Amino acid sequence: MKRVLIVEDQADIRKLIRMTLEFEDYEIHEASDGSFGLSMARATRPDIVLLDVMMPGEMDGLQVCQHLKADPQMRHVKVVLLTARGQSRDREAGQQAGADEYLVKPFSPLQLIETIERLLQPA
Amino acid sequence: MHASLAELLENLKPGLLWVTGDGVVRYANAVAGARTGLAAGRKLFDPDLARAVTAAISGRVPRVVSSVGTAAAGVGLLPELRCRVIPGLANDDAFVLVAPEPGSDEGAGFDNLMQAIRAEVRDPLRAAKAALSLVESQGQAGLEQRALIDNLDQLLGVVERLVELAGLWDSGALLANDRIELWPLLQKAWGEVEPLALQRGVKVRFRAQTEASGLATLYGSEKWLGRVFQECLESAVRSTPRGALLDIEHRQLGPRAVVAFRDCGVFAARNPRAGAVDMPHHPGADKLASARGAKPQMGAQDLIGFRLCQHIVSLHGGQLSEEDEDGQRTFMVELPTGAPHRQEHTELDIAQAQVYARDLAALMTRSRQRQANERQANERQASDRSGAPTAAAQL
Repeated sequence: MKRVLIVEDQADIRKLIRMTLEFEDYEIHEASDGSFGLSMARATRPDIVLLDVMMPGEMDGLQVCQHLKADPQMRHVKVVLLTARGQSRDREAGQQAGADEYLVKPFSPLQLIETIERLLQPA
Repeated sequence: MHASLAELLENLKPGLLWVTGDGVVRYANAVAGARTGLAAGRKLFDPDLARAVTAAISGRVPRVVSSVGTAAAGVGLLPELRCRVIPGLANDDAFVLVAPEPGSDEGAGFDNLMQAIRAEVRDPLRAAKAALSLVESQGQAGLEQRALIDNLDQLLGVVERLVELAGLWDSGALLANDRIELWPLLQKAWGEVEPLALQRGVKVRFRAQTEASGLATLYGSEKWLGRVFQECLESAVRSTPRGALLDIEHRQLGPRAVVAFRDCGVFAARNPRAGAVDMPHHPGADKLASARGAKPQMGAQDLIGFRLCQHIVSLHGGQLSEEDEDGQRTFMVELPTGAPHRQEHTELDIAQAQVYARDLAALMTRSRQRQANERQANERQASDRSGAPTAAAQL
């Protein structure tokens, strides 16, 4: 069973994502801010992280992504950025941070599932 | 939220807070945010207001309570607010209408002044500067006239700054949500101020709990927050004695960053503490240092900048304060990090829920199909192992 970590400060959105993932067969973990999300990622070793960009705290989503991709033991983890910021410079920032995919809120849950499946397919 | 309703609430003259029964703010319009320092997702911190919300919800009757606003509206003084709490549309929420106490309209006079400056001073200023340039270009001024011209030039500089700042006062530029990396912002501010620091022999160092490149990000107007840091740094350098040490200290306190520009005195300059790094030197700063003059004291230009900086920082959900301890001044900027101060959660939550509801049927179908495929695959595997035909194969 593939492991998914949701890092999102808004409880309602976290719940919606969880409800979406529960239609499929995933082991789901959650974190409500960037620092905790990074710790959870290192502890649970997910296959994929769904990462909000703007989260109050010491680390926003882009910084979490940078840390994950800079860590040799974690850089294989796929990262999907979830954000309300859809401008091209925001997408470029996501790319530079090493994100594997970028979804703009409000995103379709079908698109989320399909994105996760595509990223987790064996190469 | 319906677009028309959102616009209506946003433009209400009194501030408006939409609060749940447990004191969490669901929505705050710009006026309420500026007056109270609250934003969507935060909890009411005034116990009297929280109690009034609970009472209004349970009794379904309005309540009126006094509360305390944010300090940005007046230097050192917290304004009194008059809050009228009315039951909300649901059983577990309330609306809070936030207005300044009668007689304490601390912002209205200043707002009117800013408006008058924008409307009335800009063009005469432009004409005055043109006339002064003409006089200077004629090059016939004696010593006395020269001194008068310099004074006039300085005065026009202050007025020009006032006009520029008045233009910002109601500007939407402050509502930007740029993602800002703090260290480059501080470096840029330092680049503008380094010549002055060199001129005054003030040494500037940076101290942080983490590496400079790993500081938490800010969200807001990069241009105006950069201006704030430049103004604070410049004011700090001007007020630090010649040859003294100025520390730029960064601390992260949960979801907020505190940047302090601290005069450490002359003794510290000769005996610097470990853990601080010199601010990077910008090429050309030496030349600018010798070309510029340095003012020993804060003038009107600095005071105008400080007032505006407080306003800018407050609009970003933070606070700017100045401390004076035995003649050593410290400017402290506190700002939320990781996300913008004002986030439009409610509309996004509703939109996301609508998209979810729209796709729910498709999600369920997809899940059923996947489960059916898995069942078939399992049955096939089981039959391959046992060698018996499956029910499907038999049919």
